[in-house]
Amino acid sequence: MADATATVVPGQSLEKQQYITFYLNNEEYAVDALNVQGIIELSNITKVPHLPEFIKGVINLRGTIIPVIDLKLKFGMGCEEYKKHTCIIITDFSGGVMGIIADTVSDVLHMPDESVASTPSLGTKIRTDFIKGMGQVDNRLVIILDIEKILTQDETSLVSDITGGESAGN
Amino acid sequence: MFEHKKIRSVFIDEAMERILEIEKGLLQLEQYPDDEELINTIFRAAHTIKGSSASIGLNELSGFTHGIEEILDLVRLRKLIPGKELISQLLESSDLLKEMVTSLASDMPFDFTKCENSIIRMGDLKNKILLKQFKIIFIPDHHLFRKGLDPADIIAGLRDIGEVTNIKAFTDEVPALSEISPDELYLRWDISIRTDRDLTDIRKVFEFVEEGSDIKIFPVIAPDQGMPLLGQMLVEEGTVKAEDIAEALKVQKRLGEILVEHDKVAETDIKRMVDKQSLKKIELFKNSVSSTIRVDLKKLDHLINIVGEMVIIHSMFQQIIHGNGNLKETPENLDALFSQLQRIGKDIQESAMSLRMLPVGEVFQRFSRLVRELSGNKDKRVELVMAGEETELDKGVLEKITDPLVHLIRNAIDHGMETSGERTAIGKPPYGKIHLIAYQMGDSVYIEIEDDGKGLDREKIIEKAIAKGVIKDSSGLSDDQIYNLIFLPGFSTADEVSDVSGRGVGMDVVRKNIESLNGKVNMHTKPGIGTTISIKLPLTLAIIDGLTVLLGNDAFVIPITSVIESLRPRREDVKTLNEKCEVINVRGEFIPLIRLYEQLDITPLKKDPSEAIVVLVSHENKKRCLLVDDLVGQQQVVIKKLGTAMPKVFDVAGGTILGNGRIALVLDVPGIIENVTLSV
Repeated sequence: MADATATVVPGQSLEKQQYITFYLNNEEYAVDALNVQGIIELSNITKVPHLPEFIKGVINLRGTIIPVIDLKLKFGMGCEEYKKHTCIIITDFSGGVMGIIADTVSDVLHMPDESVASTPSLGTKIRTDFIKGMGQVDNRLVIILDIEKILTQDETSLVSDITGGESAGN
Repeated sequence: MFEHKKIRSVFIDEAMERILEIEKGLLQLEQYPDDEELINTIFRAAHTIKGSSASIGLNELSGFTHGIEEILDLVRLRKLIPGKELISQLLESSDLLKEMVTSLASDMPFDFTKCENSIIRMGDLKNKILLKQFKIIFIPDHHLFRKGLDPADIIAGLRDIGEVTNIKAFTDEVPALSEISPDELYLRWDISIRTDRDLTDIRKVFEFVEEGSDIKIFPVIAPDQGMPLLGQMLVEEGTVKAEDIAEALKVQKRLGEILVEHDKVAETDIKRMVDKQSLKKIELFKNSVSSTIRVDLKKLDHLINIVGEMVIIHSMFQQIIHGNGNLKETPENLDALFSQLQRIGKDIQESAMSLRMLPVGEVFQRFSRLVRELSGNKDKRVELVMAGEETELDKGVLEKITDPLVHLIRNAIDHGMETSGERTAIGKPPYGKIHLIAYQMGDSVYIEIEDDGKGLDREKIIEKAIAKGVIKDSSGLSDDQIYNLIFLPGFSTADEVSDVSGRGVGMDVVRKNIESLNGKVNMHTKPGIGTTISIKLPLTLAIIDGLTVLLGNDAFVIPITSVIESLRPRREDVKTLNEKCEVINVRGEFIPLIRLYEQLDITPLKKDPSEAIVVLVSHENKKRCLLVDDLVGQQQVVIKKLGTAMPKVFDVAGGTILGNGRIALVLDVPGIIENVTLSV
């Protein structure tokens, strides 16, 4: 962080955010670095029944159990076998901790707020509520995700159900 | 800022504990008003709150507590008698105190104007009751003047030590004017004085005139403290007798009733408000469970001892591995070390778990307050008798059991207990008793609530159950089965439905809450004699005994509490009904089969029950066979949540991490049974 603020070019906004970017197929996505706890190798995922397909299951993160989701399934993108570089980004949001499966993690980006355009209306075909904006860096188009909104309303209401009715684990 | 917050949270915890102490003490004080140790404990608790609140700059809170402390101090010095009025006032004040601390905890501003009434009333208590009344009959020596003394000085002297409330001079001995001798005293006085001094102090005022005078001083027993000031004054004046005041008070009605009579407000509004009052009290009561835990130092010491042992084993391993000590890497040495490590691991696990254990008394003691409030509202006299307060339960269980217990006790008073009038009429003692008993048996803790009220009305339950469509008819049901119908959803036998009790969601919510803790609830009742509700709870939530089974590539854990047995059925024991429902003949009993792989959407290794294994489970007398591929064995597992971001799945109770680092899901047997019952 110290580096980032030290090299501010005059005239550029001080409001600079860091993003972690990752690839899903050929598209580059980004999440706010402040939401990222870490990145781990893909490990054994235990499937949990009756859930939407994109919730792949749960993993053991150093003794705590966290859910893992596959955004490609959520976004309806083509999905191949997991490869060597496939990894899990551990994110932390108001609903708890959640892992996101990514093909590769590519970069840590500093992006001033000006270079983030709000989401264009893309018609009814694509849901845009979990997209915070589009960023443009050196001709790369980065889709910035809103972690808080990845699980839809219905799913988060289910979330509050378990936090209320579960046993005293952990 | 952070430091400040931390200190504050320490204060909040401590204050909450002290407030509970005060509350508990006050309630006991009502029964044993002479217990000095008790008064001292309450006083110290208030004093601590006062001191620590002042030290972190909570001046209003400290000031308010000071008021409470002052009264307690007077009680301690025996200048105030802890009567009903005083106790009620102090309880109310401690409620306010609790509100203050709760709002502090939730960072909400507290409206201190709320306390004004309470402060005024506490002031009244201090001023009125602490002063003792004395009546003095003063018939002075006729030759008083000759001794150079003046009765006016005496009266002035009395005025110095207290408030002379009434003075009456009797002039009947004054002779005719012609016979009056100027150095003789013909008058006598009746003086009433209100003072905080003792009888001896008053006598001292009369020291010089004592000789030759007739002085009688006797304390006036303070009239019933429930009496309003006017009545008290009238009695003092001698205009009205105390009995007459008491009689008049009986006629006097409550504010609510008067308002209703004059058509100012509808009766239902009043009722709602009164209910709201009690609800508020219950709410306040619920909020007081804190998120920190107080641990017995012995438990911590024990844990630290074992950890010390583990450090030693660790260094022994190091010696063996690096070969730089006396220990050689022999199989015997390794084996011995390993078994030691195993024992220590188990010890650590056990003592770590015991840190979470709290005595149930922490929750129980609050119930005496609840009972007092509720029975006061309903014209029922109820005494709460507690036993086994030292029984320990997991903090998580204890927190979640509080609500159901509140509900059950409320029910017992509201519906179970007769009014004292009714009780006397049928030859029962006017005081109803509710026993609250906790004890441990095996790996379960039992909590029983036993009342000596009227019991459940069997016919009424049947009638209601049929009306609600819960059952078709009562034939074939045992009495116990009928009584336990009240735990079914939507069942409430209360004729009168108010906000406080009997909203028709009562007992089934109680049962649900208890079952969510893997507990069981049962009811026995005898008409006219009473009702006993017994709750069975597991010692802890976090660790359960589980049966690990394999299904496809995954392992699953079935909590052992629901498992009856596991078996491999013979081919001819598997039957189908209507070609849909499969049953298995287990020694003559036909039990429905649930193919778990269908339920959980898994590709199994074995589909034929006679090649695989079935696990016989039960929940509420419903038995089911679960089809699994294979058994792994029975072991203790630590249940964990599947992450807060994870949607809840009805047939999974949680997950556990196996020895190989993988996760096994812990199955929720009640969830599976109920779900399949619905879909069949």
